[in-house]
Amino acid sequence: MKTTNIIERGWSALNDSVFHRLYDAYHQDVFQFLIYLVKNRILAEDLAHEVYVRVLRSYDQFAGNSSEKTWLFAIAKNVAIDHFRKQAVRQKHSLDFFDWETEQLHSNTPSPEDMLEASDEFMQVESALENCTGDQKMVIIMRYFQDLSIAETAQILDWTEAKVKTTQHRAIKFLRQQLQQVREQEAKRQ
Amino acid sequence: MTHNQFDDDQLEHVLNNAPKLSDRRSKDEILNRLLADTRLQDNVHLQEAIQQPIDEEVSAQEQQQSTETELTKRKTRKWPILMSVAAVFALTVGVGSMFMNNNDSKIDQATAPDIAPYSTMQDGPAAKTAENHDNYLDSSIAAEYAKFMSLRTSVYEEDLTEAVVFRIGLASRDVESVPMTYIIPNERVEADFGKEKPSTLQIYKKYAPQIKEEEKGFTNYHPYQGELKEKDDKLIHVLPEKNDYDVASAPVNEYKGTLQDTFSDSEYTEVEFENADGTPYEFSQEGEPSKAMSLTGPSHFNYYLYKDQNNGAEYLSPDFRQTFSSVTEAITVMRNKTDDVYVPVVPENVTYTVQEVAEGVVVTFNDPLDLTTMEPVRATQLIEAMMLTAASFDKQLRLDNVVQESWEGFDLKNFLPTPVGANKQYMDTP
Repeated sequence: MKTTNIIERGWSALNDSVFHRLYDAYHQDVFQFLIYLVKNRILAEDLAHEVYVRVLRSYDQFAGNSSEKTWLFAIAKNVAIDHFRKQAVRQKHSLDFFDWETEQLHSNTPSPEDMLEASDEFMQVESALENCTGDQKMVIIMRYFQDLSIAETAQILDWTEAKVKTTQHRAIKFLRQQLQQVREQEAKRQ
Repeated sequence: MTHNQFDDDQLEHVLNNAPKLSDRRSKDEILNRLLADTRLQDNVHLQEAIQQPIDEEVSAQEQQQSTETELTKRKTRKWPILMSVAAVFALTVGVGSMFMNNNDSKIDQATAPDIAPYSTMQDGPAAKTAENHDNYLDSSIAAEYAKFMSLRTSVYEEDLTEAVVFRIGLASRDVESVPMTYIIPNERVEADFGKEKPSTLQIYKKYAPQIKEEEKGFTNYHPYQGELKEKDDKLIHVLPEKNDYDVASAPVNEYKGTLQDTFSDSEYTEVEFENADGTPYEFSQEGEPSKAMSLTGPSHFNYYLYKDQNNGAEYLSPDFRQTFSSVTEAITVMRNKTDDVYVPVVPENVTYTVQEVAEGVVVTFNDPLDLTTMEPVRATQLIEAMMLTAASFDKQLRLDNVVQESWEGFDLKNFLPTPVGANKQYMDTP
């Protein structure tokens, strides 16, 4: 893995700037990851900018211990968590540590414009995701919306693969319960 | 299993078919915004990006509408190296809009808050313009946001208006103590201890176990093995017969280093090492009953960059606890690389002289030092490491012959504030 990355980086130095290469390969993926987390297009654009700032400033320190893709997503994840942390700080007016894994990563209702293609079922899932813990929401977005493998997700979150699997299992179970409740309530209404 | 199979499959199907959401901006727009960000001034990778021909791309919508669109049409364009005033202003409102989006309301961009006190662009005309428009948002929230974005890593008096400091030496993977300075809000201390002021040992016992040391790149070290107790103005550490500290000289030095970093700026004058029966503990390397270790002796260090090789975390730390008799010597040798663990914060090509004056110590760079030629993080580390070094001699620092008049909120025209401690940290929630 490391050798491959060194070769990739050597190649990049000869052919493509870091920005162009990462943009071309991953920009839309990273943007989608961010917009699903924060559900606000303008905010996702701001966070994507912040991701590039961090990437460009720290690329020389990138040790090649992971793929560029997982490194980039790890930075995007950190930028997003910083956003939620700031939000929590502002709401609580305290500088207490924000544990994103156990707290909920609350975001807005997605704009109707962004969700034109979404099915009713997906909107229900989206809504239920808001009630998941931060670690569960993150894993669902990475595994299902972003198609990241268990190994990639584990690297990005700096977890073991077992923890990813467990968290995913719990998230699915929780979502299923939430959706079941919604359906039962709908059935009662009808 | 209380659920039915249909629901399981449907859930998986829905999750696997999430709508694709794409960024509708062009690569040009994204690159333009990066160019306007002062944090990326002279960033080599951004310079490379603007030298490269840009692929003219179609928007995501157009991509969906027509896959036949020719993507490879190129236009060769050189990007302006220097930012225009308008671009700087765009940054100001851009950062402001990020802040305001957090608030779920997009305010007119002209009313964006000025977060200049901690930005690196205080002297820019755009920042001054924005200064006139900062009344819309609560200033304390803006200040908190600005602090969050700050590259500063040390703790200063201004950080402690409603908080207390908890110092602790964490054990690095290189078997060395790295000083950390935790900020604990007063309300949390009051909730934990009531109105009565806790002792340093009480604070240590309460909060040290809550620190997730390994997550920060350190070994799981605290709380100490054995029992720590107070006796008048002394601290007594009753060490178990078998412990992880007295196994070789390096771990003993590390252990004593962590004690000094944790308790030297406290109400205790010394720490005694005892066996369970109250007799002095004998460290195997010393071959005689231990003597009390002073906690009040001068700790005149200079500061280097310590980087954890595993997670990349960076901290400012003394270089193997080497002490110096004068601040001039301590700052002068900060350019020297003496080992493979601690990295000098001073770039190789930067030279300077050190002069002690009545108000403190003055570092004068031989050539005008343009901080924007360095990575902003490195420039800030250089300034703060010198400030910490001066502070370990109870002296203020002034930097002369720096191109910028201010940096990260530091007024470089005058003596800089004395840091309270290195490596600012916030306590995890229990």
